[in-house]
Amino acid sequence: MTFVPVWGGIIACYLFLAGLGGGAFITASLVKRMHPEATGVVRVGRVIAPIVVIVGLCLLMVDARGGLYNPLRFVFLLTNPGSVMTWGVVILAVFVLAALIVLLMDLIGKNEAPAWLVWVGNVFGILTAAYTGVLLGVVNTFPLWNNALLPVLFIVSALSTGMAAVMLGGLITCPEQVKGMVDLTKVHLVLPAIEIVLFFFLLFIVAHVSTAGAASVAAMVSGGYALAFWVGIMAVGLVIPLVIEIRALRSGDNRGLAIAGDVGVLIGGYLVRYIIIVAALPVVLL
Amino acid sequence: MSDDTRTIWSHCTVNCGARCPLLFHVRDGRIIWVEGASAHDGALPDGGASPAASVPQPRPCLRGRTVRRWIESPHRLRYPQRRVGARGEGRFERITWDEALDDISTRLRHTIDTYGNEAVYVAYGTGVHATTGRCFERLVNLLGGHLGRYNDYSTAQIAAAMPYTYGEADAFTASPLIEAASARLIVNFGNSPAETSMGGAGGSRDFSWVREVSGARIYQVDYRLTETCTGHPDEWLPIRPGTDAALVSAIAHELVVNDWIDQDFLDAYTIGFDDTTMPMHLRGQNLGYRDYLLGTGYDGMPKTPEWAAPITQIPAESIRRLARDVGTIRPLFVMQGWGPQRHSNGELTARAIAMLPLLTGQVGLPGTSTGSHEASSDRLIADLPSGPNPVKARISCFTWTDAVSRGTEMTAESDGVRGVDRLSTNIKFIWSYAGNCLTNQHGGINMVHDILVDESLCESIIVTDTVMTDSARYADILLPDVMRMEQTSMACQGESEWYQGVTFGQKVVDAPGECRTSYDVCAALARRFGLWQRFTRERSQEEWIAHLYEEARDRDHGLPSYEDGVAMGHYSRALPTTVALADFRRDPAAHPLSTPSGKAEIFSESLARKATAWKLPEGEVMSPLPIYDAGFEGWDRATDEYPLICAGYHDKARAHSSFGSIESLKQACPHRLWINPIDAQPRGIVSDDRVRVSSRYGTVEVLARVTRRIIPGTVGLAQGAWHEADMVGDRVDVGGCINTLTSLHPSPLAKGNGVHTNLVQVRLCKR
Amino acid sequence: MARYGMLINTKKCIGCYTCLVACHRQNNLLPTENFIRFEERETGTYPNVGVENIPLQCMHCEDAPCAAVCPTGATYIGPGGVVAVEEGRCIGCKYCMAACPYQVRVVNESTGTVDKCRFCTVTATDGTKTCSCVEACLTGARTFGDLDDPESDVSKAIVELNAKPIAGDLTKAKIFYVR
Repeated sequence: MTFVPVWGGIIACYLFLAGLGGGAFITASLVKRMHPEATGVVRVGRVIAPIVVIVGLCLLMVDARGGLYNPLRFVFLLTNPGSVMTWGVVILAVFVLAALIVLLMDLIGKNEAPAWLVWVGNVFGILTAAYTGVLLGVVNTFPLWNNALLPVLFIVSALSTGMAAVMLGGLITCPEQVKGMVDLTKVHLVLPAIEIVLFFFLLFIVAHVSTAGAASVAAMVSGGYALAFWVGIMAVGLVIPLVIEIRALRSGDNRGLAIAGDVGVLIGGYLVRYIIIVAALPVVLL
Repeated sequence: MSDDTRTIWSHCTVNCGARCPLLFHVRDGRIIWVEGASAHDGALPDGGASPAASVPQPRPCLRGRTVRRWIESPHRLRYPQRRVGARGEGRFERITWDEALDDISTRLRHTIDTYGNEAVYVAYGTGVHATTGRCFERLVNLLGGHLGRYNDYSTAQIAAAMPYTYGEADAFTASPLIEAASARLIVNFGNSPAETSMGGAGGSRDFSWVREVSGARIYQVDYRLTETCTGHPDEWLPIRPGTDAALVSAIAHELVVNDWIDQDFLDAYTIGFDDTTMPMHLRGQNLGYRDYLLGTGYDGMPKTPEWAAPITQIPAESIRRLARDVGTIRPLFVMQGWGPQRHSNGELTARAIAMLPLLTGQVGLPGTSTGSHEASSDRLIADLPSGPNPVKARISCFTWTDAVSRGTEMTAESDGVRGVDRLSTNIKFIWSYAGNCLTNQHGGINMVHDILVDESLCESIIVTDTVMTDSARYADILLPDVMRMEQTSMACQGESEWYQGVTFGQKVVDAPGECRTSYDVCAALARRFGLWQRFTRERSQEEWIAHLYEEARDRDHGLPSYEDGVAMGHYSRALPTTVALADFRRDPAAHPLSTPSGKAEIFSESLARKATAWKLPEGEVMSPLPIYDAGFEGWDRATDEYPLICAGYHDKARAHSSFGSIESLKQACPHRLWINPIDAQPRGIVSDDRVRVSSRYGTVEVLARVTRRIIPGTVGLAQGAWHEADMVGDRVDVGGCINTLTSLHPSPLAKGNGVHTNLVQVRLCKR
Repeated sequence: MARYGMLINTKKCIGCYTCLVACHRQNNLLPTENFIRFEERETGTYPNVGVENIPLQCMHCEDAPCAAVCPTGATYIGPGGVVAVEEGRCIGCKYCMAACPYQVRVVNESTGTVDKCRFCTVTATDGTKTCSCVEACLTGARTFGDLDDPESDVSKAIVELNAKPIAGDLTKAKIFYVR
């Protein structure tokens, strides 16, 4: 049988946006702590965070056509506490709620959001990113998903894409605030490097544990998805942004290059989810 | 199930061999679904979990269950039509029934008056099997008759050859499949009931039951690993198609040199094995089968396994192993399908396979058969009588294209004409009912096209069908038929099941448009000739069915009353197994065979005489012995241009071309050319690539299925796919009909279709 | 309470797809909705070729991963151990399809929900005595019944033919294969 992937681009987008949202909220918190003066950048992060997660949830509902046609059925989503997807719904709901309140208070500007609420947002931001990996990770049909590295990779990628999105927003709306953030640039540099290492171990281990895993990895690195993997993820999403950041550390900022690097990270981040979803092949049991 | 749903019985009509009863669920004049006879209808005993051959289980296969898609096809013919434009172009205009019937009767009258009744031909067609399925013969016989035919497209060679071994009366005699349950060794040549006759109580189910209860060792000699041996691939003995006689010769050689033959049986029951039983005047000339095997016969070639190995592609040691089993395991049940004989050398092959039971004396005993196709049971109800045909001339059904183009040249010796020495006229009028044998299911489609489009040859072609088939495109008048589910119809069990049954089919739904039953059409034509009274005997079709049934009941008091039958829908009864030729074996003097000698004839003197008298083209072989010869256009004539053999087989999705247009079946079972990786790889072909298959006669385009389930050097293309080509353009058949590739050359003795003997090349189409 | 299961004898299966057509009929399925999926396996090298037709359908697992992951509880293990889908709860997230190791759950293209083999007999009200695929099978390759009843045809056949779930102990499947 030629296996048809269960999910496709829409769910990849949902996983990508959920991770990005969590990452953006945490980035905003980081910026606020390290550069309290960069209020524009913080606001960008706090705007992005709830919006992209809500968009992601809408995409999920579009893909889940049974619910789309009968929206009341989404009420049942909380009825199986054993399902990772049920946890996900709770996690995302708490995160969106926290992020929205923080954003509203920020926008109204009367009171600063309480620290505990920001921490709730930070924790659930991490959980949101982790959830997207665990959702796939518990499915033991697909060796590419069913391993402990995947959630870690998704968390790192979520922070990386979240940070890229915030930086990108910052570069567009308040470039002068972004300029001085050398320390954040260093964090921004480390994430793609960690991702490359994680990716290497993920593929190496998956390729060695099962035939289906090996076939999935082969599809990614030398098969039908090789172009997207090498050019999209590795070059555009990881190596080029890495080079741009290194260059920025050595010879100063270049706004155009920085924007290009951040866009690259976002493209790569989406493709990571997409390829991991569609290239995964099931264990053959016959 | 809601209350407004009614269930109505009818039956499958097509020619897979079986004739499964179908139960239609109907609501508001529309079929909701179709299912088969099953235990919960009370129509059958509950044998679901524990299959036993004693319990009839005529379950319909996926085809019968899909018949609704055919009945409701948007492509159903709805009105009578007349051809406009050139013949074969496929352009028609709607006319009224009166216009159509007037035109047909004028054409028929003109043909008979001008050329005589011998110019009228009723084409072979098997789309409808029912007691009232063939009406036109009855009408035309009342009008003075028609050119008769013998043979069919399924069994031409075996039907012609077996009488020389077992006699005319026992040409098809064999034990039923279930008798093999008592065998210890089953050797099955080119026979796959799981594909040819899937549905019904017999065939696949019986074979599977036999395998289970007998524990016999089974050999399936076939060029494909068929569905009959999926799950049991170890049974497969792959053989190059058309070389079964070489395998048999080598086995026979081993039987002789190891003294595994039953000499007493050969001496008492057969003639021509050696000089002991040779006719007196033929002795001492090394004409016997033993001399042929040992190399002391006419060709001086010992038929050792080493001789046969390069011919059959079976290693010599495998042949020796099989020969040891055949020589030492008893009882031995040998049977053949109709594929091995459907070759240019098929007459030799059919008789050769029967040599295994004869040499080992495994005939007429429990657990044995005759080497022929497994038996089918007698039908309980007779068909609508056609009446005597005053025309004596008969042709082999495969030679009708010759009779159209050069009929008056055809003689008994040159073309196997029977009844007369020479035809007096060419065919001028063709009636084709529920058949697709003008082109699709005949052979050499491109050549047939050229014959049919010449309106000076055959002047009138009348086609009746339910949908536009490739044959129907050549009609001058095209009539829309009523499906049997849309009229009262009766059918008996088919040709493959070892039970007897009758289905009392009732009208399930209304036919679309102006469709008319063939009985009514023929009755209306009869009225135009003033023959209505004699044609109908003042009976409607329903009354004929009841009448034929009552006649059968007079002979067979076990049958239920007609009314009870209609209420039951389907009646069936089990049959006890039988042993073929048991009487002959017990007392050959009291129960002689119908051969000239009364014995099984290994050497046939009458065949020897015919071989001398008949005019055979160069390269054609007729022999009194069941020798091996590759046949014309056989595998040994492969060239660089056409290096591969292409043989046909029966597809799951179709019965011949019936059901061939049903989209859902095409999707479930895609039409693909089987090709071994050894042949596919150098051609750069992988599964689902589009490939072109070309022979001297035509080209088809089809998807490839690269599989180890076929012998290397041979490709397999299921027959019955619907021809689809631009006949005024490149004539490339994108429907993948195998008869685009086949020849019109008839086999030597039967003058039948040797359409599994094809030499082709396969090329990858541009991706 | 009965514990329903099925035996499929691949040595008898001729890959004719009649069960599939019968299942479409019984469950009124769309042409694209196949509760039964055929795997044809070819092994070995010519001429020592192995061929097997394996019809796969919902295994009605006791440890059903589809039921475990279903966020809405639409998939559940019902009476008789039949893994069932309550269409009115299914949102069509397809998580169950990803979780099923046998890939035998399919999307109903018109409702967007996910469905699968229902062991149709268990809930049948039309007098059906056995599943439509069992009843339609031309070679008698399928047997259905109560696994807890040692006298049932299916229990006896499992013992006699040494039938095993397709993937051993994984998920405690209740369709047993003879291979």
